[in-house]
Amino acid sequence: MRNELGSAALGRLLRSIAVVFGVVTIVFFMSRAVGDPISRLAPIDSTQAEIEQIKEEIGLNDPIMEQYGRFLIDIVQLDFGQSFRATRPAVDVVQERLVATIQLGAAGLLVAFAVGIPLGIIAAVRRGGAMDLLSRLLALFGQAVPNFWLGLMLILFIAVSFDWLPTGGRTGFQSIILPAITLGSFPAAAVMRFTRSAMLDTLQQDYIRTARAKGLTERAVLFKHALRNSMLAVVTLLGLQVGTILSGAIVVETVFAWPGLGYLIIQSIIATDYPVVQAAILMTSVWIVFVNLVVDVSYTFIDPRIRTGTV
Amino acid sequence: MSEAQVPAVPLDERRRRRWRIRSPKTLVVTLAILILFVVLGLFGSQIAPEDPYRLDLVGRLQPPFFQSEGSLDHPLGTDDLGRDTLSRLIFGARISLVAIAMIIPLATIIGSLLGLIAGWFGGWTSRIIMALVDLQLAMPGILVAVLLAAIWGPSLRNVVIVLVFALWATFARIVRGETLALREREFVIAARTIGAGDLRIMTRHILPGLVNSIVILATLNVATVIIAEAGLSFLGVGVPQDTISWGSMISQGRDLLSISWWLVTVPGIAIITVSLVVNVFGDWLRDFLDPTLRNVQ
Repeated sequence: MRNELGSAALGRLLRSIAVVFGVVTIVFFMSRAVGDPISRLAPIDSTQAEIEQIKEEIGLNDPIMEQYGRFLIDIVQLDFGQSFRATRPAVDVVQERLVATIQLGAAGLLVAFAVGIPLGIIAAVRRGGAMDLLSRLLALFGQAVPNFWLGLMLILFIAVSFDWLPTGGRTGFQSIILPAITLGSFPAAAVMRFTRSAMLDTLQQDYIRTARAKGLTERAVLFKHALRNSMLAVVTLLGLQVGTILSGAIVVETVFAWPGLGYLIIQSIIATDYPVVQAAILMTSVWIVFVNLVVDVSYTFIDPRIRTGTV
Repeated sequence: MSEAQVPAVPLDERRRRRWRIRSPKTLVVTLAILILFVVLGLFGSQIAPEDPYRLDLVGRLQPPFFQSEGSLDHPLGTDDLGRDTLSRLIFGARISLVAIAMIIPLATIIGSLLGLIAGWFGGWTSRIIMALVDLQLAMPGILVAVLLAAIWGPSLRNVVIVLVFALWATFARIVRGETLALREREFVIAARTIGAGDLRIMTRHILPGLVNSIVILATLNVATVIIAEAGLSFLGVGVPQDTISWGSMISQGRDLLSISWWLVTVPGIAIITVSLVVNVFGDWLRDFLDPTLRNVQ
């Protein structure tokens, strides 16, 4: 049994490594085979000879596969080249910002789950009631309201009009509130719908009827029997939401000038700081793959019903 | 319905009927707004009251008509260069419509085809296709958009590539799942027994069973395209800044947020209205075509 779990986890790990490898490959070929980075690398007024010299120096004249091999070796060593703007290794620039993004992402997830789970439970238990309608309306709007627009509206109504909270930047606890709400709202709708349908499924199971039949209080049935089993399904959602959160963060950080990875990416594009863009994109992808791996593997260990093959 | 049947409906079913979002009335309103959106997208240049690019520095930053300084000449006000917001809004519908028209068919065809192939052939074919799905999950569309914008600069072509890349995987996953279920059905086994080829079974026997889910999924992804295009253009990695899009309108109005609220609010409301309406329509379509699919997505 233990071995089975171990080999499933190993298989999942290998698949994750393959995915990371795929992402690296896409990033390389998209950026090399399609666009010539020389126009970004050389000063605007450089002569043809100078351009040739730079090309030779950074190995752009070598065969593409050789460049690809070198790119792979560099990346394993976390070497993404020098940032043009900051003139230090791109990976350092990215790592500085990573903390801010993880902070914002965690706060956003907290909002999503703190709002989504209770609403989903109420909607399922009082199915068809006013709360269910409200939660469905919220879900409907959650899918229709763009998060950047929501962020701007929060700035307009709460930060500008009432001057309650800062409009942007990262200046302490208060500055994370609005970005976290903005970031969390979209996944909150997903968490809510998911919790609702997981609860509804569980509540129809035979063992719930048994629990009720033997005279347990409704409270015990809901929280001890139904909720625990439903939450297992909700955990999987956590992994799926990480991608949403990280791509949402790019937008939200730009709106609130939150100095994280996303804001860095957008700034670096404007400044055509190519190595930083590349490093940030790869880092983000690796994070998504990593969190999904952790969620998947831990899920296998938490739920004894899940065995090899289904992971 | 006879009276004896009424108590047979469970209590919460009855309650659910009372709290319905979708009524025939909602459907009519929904369709009307959808048609309006399509008409504006197609014939916006004839309908718009003004040239959306015309500058008028004297009449800049006029608020909408219902505010005291506003006038009916510019019902939704003007921006910091004096351009008419209503006309820009109407022109902006076009880019959303174009994006939908290009992205949804491409993503639907590519995704469904790969899902069908993966589901029918299984084995290594399926494994490779599913690995591509994993890859898409690890690279959110916005990252691809950023990468493309960094290489080529913003363009509509990027938006199309990015969103097709972001959306095909959902189709592939769902179509594969349904194909897996269908291939065990008796009529498919029967077809195989009488010697029908792979291609014939896939197109004649399996595909017809998939059409409903594919149509539903395509409809539900329309709002995603509208919002995503706006988001990419807002970030400056979507359509170029001089193309009028609801997203770029919001991005341009952003710096004036505290002075002229309408520049950000109005295009946002347009995005929300159209997305909402498309989703309500998609939900309705799902219930109409296949009630068993209520929990897809």
